[in-house]
Amino acid sequence: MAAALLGCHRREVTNCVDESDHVVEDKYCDEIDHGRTSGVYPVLVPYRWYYGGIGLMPGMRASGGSYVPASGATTVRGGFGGTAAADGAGGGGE
Amino acid sequence: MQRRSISPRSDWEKRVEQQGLIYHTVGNQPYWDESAYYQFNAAQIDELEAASNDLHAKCLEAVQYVIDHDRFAALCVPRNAADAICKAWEEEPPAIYGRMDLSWDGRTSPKLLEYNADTPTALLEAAVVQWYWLRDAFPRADQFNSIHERLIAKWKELRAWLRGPLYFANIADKEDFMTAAYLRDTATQAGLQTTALLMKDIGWQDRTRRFVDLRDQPIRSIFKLYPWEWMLHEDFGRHAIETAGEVQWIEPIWKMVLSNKGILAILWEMFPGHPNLLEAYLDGPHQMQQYVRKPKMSREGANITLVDGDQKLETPGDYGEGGYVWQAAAPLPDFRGKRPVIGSWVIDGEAAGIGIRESDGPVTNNTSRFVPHLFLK
Repeated sequence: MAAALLGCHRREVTNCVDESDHVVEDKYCDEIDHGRTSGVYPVLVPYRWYYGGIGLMPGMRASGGSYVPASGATTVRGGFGGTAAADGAGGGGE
Repeated sequence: MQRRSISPRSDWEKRVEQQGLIYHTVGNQPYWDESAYYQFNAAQIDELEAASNDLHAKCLEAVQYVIDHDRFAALCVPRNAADAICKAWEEEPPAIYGRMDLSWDGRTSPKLLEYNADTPTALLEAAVVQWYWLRDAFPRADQFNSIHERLIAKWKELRAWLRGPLYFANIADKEDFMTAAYLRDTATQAGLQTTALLMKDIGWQDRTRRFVDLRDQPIRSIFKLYPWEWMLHEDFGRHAIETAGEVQWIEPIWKMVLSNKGILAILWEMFPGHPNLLEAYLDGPHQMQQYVRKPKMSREGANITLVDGDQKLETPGDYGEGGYVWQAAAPLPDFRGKRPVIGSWVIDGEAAGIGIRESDGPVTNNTSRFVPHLFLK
């Protein structure tokens, strides 16, 4: 279960679930992130992230959320890299 | 230490390109220059290795000193970043690499000019290209270079620590791209799952309070070839601080203490007279007659002022915000007009090899040439 309270912002609860929405340890979803769909894991990895609902312990069934981040979870990009663009003197390395 | 001329391999461009060095020529000038090489003896290499290890240990003591004595203001580190640095220092997240720039003529003690501990480049040429040059040109000679193997060993060690795929982020600059691509290649060879990303494509979701990739997948482990001092001034800097405990950043944020040139004065304050350090101050040149004034946060040899009595030489640039450090001049050795600076690579906290960049003037900048080296046992 990956949930956290940060400052005054409440983060959306994220659980890693199996194909029947039972919560499993985060490491199984990390393996999906890793792109490992073979080897000791089945070709069709049955794990995925579950957004929303409440924070749960492994084995419990997730509900009240969805498989995609809640609407409103818009992504902003371009918040890094501006100094290099403005600098014009080369890269971030030296 | 000698500089020797030699004929380049007839197909050197093709060879170095195959090894990944696509920026071997800048304008009409070679950046990779194998018309010469530097030759050392084994005792000299031992001395470089010992000095680099000792300097790195001193630098770690200096970070502890900055934390213990709250010297962050002297380095112009903002308060919220100082807290994140202290936390990262306590947690000891992995630090992969750094490059010390040393002035040395092979006879006196090597002197630390600065420590590029956060975003060093010129890595591929030191780790790979000069190694293949040695095999072709002097197969019986040796080279101070275990950079490649040490990188792979370190990534292997991190397999159990990393969360999710390891992202490699850089800006769209040829040299940065190649450096990040090379590091990513060593991580892949170590068995890690990796993904490339541009710094500008890193996303932030306010709702979930996390950084995401282009598919909106969470970024939980990331190598960034982008200086912390820039990141903190940009829009997402505050998010990087807020989520510091949840995202594994490589290099970790405490490295910005070492890459700040103010650390040179702090080192001198702690270890005055150390044979590998140059006299340096944060508040002026003191009694020094020959010195270099560097902005604490300058890069690529910009905004440097060399003072020799009444003589002054200044390099252009836009840096200077954040104050200066005054460091005793350590003229680079002069090999018939060629001035080498030795980049000593520290991988996982230990000296792992050198790469030499050479310039025609007294300040090494981003147009200097990379010249290979060897040593004889």
